[in-house]
Amino acid sequence: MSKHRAPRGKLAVTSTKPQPLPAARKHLKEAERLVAAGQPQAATAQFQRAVNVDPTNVDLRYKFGKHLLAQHEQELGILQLERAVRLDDRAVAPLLELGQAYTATNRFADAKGLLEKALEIAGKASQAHLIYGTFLHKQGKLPDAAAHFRTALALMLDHPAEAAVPKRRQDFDKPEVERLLWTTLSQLALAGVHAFAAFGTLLGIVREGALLPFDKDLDLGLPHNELDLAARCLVANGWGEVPHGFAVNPRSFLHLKLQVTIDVTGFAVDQQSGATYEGIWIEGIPAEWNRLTRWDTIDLVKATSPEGSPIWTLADPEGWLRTLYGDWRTPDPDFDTIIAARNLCGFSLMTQCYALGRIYARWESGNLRKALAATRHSLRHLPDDELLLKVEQRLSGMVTESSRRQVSAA
Amino acid sequence: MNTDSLEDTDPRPSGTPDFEWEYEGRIVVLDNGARLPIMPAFDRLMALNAFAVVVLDPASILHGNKNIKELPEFQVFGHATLGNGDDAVLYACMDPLESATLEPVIPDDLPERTRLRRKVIAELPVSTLRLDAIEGLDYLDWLLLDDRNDILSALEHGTHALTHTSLVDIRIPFRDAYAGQSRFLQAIPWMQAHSFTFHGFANTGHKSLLPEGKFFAKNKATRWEWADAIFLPDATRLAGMDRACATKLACVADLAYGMHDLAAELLGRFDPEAAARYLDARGYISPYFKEADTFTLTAAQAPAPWKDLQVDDPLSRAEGEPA
Repeated sequence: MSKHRAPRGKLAVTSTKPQPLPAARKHLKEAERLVAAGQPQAATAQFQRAVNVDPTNVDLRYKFGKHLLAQHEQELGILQLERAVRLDDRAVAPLLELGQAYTATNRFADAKGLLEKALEIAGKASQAHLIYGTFLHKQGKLPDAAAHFRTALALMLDHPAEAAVPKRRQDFDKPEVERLLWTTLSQLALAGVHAFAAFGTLLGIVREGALLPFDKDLDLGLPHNELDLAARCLVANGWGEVPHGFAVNPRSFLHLKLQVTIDVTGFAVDQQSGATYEGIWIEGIPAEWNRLTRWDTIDLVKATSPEGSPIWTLADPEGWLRTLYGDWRTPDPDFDTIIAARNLCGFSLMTQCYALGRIYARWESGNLRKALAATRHSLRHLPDDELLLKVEQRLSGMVTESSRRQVSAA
Repeated sequence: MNTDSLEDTDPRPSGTPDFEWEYEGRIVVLDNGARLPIMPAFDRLMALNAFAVVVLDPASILHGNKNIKELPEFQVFGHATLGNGDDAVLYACMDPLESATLEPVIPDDLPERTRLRRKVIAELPVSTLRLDAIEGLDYLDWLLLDDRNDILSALEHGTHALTHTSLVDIRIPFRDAYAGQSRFLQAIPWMQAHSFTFHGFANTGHKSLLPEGKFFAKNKATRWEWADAIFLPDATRLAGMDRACATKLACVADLAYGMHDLAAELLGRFDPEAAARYLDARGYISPYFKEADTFTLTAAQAPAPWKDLQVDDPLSRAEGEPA
């Protein structure tokens, strides 16, 4: 599930805009400096001092709440945002941030009123529609979610975003993470789970001989009916299931010591067609709404990891990668498996939600090339989509202009 | 509110084969203080009909227990405990389970209910038996000593018997409940000097410090009251142990304490195949090693969680066509 960015300075934090007291402003400024300097814990103390000095300032509560959420302090962050909303229940940014935080923790009933109020106040704000779309998406209300993502993109067409150099982590290929992969695969194999390296993890190992440095998690595939057994095995070996997941497939786990996430995706065989599928599945919606990819038969063989432990691996990893990526040998930094997998079954409502949300998020963050790539992949499935055609035209122009500027500057 | 972590240590994995213990003769047990009948594994152990048990029950807490009396090769001697052979005093408490040949200590901070239970109502004469003087004990597979009677005295007068003993389980107290109780730091050097090595703690008893007499949603007991210290023959003695003794020791380690690694190691000394079968029976052999070298995902193994799926087949697109 993509995490959509919070609105960036375009929505009113307060409806009345009272400035923080000078002493509180000083702490706020110091907190922001510490965040920029990579010292979030010290920043937390400064934020706390700022709200102690000026406890009724909505802006301070809002910024403190956002900071806490960014530090994975969900409950404390929500507490600050709730105070911000109590202080000013017409301030759109706190309403959206709190609604988003509730959504992230599956508190949909709490989120609903806040997000609908934000939409009522700021119906022309693209971010409000994006966040409301995510709220609907998580509940499986995909037709309405897609409609709001479209509105967000349509409103974005009027919003000039600057191109930015995307910041990509480049340190995922650390030896300890790769060791964790092999150890985990072996633990699962010994527990009776037929788990295999898949997706970006497999691509890195086969193409580069190591994990991809810019990857963000480990990816494993396994028979869908072995997910529960795998979950028990992972939890017994130092992983914790990431809470508030809305999909029944895949499931995500966080390694509590190394802080590495592993996505475990179940593969299942359709009893009528005999075809194999995986994807992102929500319970209680028509199967066709889910994001589905179709595969040839999955054949595994026993193998030995580089560390000498027993594992399962795909019998034909190159064929598997070809099914998913097509030309997997040529690196494509703009490839997004969720939207562009070669074996996607159509362009389901859920895939559309992901595509529209990701186009928006990348555009909004200034990563225009990736936004454009996602748009073009979407147009392959929806070639006559007027909104996507407009977005493609706009992004294409912006990318060209950005490239021209970079050449001039050079 | 005491919590004893005397768990049943052998939850058998389902779908695993049984393991038959094969040895000649019975496993001879001497239980000083009637600990065996309250072990969670007791019924399972007795169901094997493979033990010859002598229980010294100084406080006669098993008196009148018909079920025990009917067990084969199970003898209970009331008003007796291991010691130096002289008569001793039994401090009979309000709660017979608190009675001991060591004098109960009642510290000031003891809750009223415990104080009452440990109140001495009579001092009675009781016989002590020297372990080395007990007739018919040619060997001892398993010796259990409780913490209510003089452990060191029992050991001091059993040095000969201990040379033929395979496992000693000593309940070590961590609180001053009875005067003159032996502590862990006293037991360890004594046992080491007599060719035993400390293997580990098996069961532990805990005391909760939550207020008594109140009801809580859950319990928490963090203060250690006692632990059962397991001593095994040292490496030299183990190396010289014959197959029958090693197998019986493995059986006790497995059935009474769930020490599967120890049991497998002992079995493997004489019969690696038996050790492998044992580990399989206890769920240690991964299914990975029991299945074929290839695995194909089928609908029978991983059925899709839907019916009548109507989607395009993307794999039918021509090779090379952009996805």
